Amino acid sequence: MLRYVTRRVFLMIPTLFILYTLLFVLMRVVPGDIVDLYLEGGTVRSGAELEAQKLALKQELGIDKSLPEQYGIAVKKLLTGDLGQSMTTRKPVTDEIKRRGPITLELALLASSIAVIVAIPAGVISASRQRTALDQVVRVWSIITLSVPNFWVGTMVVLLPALWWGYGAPPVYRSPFEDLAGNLQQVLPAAIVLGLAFGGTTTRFVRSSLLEVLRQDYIRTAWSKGLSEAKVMQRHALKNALIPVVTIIGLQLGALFGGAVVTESIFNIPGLGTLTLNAIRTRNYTQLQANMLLFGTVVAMMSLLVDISYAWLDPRIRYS
Amino acid sequence: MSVQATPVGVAIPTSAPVPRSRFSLFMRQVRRRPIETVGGVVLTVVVLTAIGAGFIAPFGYAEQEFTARLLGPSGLHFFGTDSLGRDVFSRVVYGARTSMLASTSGVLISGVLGTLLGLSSGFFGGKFDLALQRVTDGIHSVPLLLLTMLLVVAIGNKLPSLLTVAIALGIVGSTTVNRVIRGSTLAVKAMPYVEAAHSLGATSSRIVMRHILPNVMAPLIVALSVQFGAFITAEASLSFLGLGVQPPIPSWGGMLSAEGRSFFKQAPWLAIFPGVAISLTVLAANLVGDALRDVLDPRQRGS
Repeated sequence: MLRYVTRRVFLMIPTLFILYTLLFVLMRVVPGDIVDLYLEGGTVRSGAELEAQKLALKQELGIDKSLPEQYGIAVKKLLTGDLGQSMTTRKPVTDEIKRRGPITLELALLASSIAVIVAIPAGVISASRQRTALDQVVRVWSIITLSVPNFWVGTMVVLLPALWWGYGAPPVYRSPFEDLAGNLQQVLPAAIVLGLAFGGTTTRFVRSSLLEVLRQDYIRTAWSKGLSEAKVMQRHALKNALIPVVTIIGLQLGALFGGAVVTESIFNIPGLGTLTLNAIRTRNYTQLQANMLLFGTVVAMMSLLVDISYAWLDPRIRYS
Repeated sequence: MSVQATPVGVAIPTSAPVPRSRFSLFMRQVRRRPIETVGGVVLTVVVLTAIGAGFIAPFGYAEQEFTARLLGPSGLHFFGTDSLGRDVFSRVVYGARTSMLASTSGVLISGVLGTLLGLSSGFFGGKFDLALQRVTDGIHSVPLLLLTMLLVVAIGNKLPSLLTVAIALGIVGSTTVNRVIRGSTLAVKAMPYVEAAHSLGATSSRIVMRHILPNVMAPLIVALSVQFGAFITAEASLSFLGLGVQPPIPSWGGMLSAEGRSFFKQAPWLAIFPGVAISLTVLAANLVGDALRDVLDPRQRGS
């Protein structure tokens, strides 16, 4: 097991390295860098002076060199664990990540909990009452929640209370450790919007996975032993059906981060999503690379955890 | 209780074998899946709206009337007007065209590119396969929406924004299609009929085109139908964030974005109608996708 985990962790490195390189090249072919965006429309307008300022700023940011040179320097730094400085704040990119990471983590954890809390009962009801009206209701509900774009649901969730009751969430983000109620007023609606959408996908997986399991011989055996429905479901069916469900919950994480970009910007949550979006808008290469690398690492770690949890959920699976 | 020993896939002769036309088979599916049929009808309406937008919309999508700003829904302006005095109904109608153009061309690019990559990766294997799959793994470890945004920005404003969105969606989407096709190609390649074709001296290109491609069509269609719905949402999300289709071209996502946002409290119809249009279209696309998957992929039936 330990050997398996070590090997997987080492295999992650080339994948992430390829990702880093792809992003590095892609971002530097983007027309217009941060310097152009900074200085255009500034006070200095004359050609030569503007060019000189641009060059100075580029040298300061280290983006005046050729692409291979920049890449070489960045990789050397990366190997020592230095992700570089943010091109807007001039502070280490990890500062912003440390500040905003927990915010997105809170959103992601709340959203996935909501997704799971909705999806497992709904999927079980749907599968155990297959082809009944209840099953139809669950199926239609889950396809609706996964179809309706979360930016529209988010817009409505912000707009309607404001329209009907003049209610608005606190406009400034508050840390849950200082003001839990104020924090939840802002984060919980976002988590519900995100969670319901992922709950839709997860419900479908719980349902189909459970239907598959319910056809197995050992379920018939459990019934013929005279076990109650609750026992058959909990002890025999659900335990086996959860394995593919764990996969899908783990693999949705990447999409969850993507969803966070949109929901964070609607609900004014200063998390990693808004940070990444701003980094794209301002061509803040270093911050963007660091964020993407973080997303990639978390997703890769998650899929490793999923595989490890297989062995725990299903003793038949052994890794060597 | 009698035990039937009929192998799967062998038709059991019934007392009166009824010849079934394609149409009657289709109608049987329609009767069996009422909800999915409604989805199909809605999607057809959206496609027809997209094609005939010029005939349906009473006003032009950029036509402004300054005396008619922020009017509520009425007999003249079914969905009201926006802050520039543009007819929201006409913009939603033209928005269908934007949405369908972006998603269908995205799916087309993703399908062609992904199939080419997946077929060659699965059929030839070797170093090319290894390299491609590593790159795919790398790409799939970051949120695809963010990657699409990055590509849109990278292509910049050299191309019309609608085409840029379609290309970005297509390239990012092709990595998923590539995975699906590669997997199916590996499975089909191991089939005895491919071996038979090989031993009869068929060339690689003939085997790929005549034997493998037709047999990976079903998973391809299923994957693309899923992408179709996802691309509609993705285009809307990009335009919502201001990175997608640029004004004055009407996009459902764009209509919900910054420009209209400050007026939503005064004029809620600005937020409601485009949102309903996206939601219904994506829902319809997903329902049709589900039905297609049910019919084409019997393993997933009933899920």
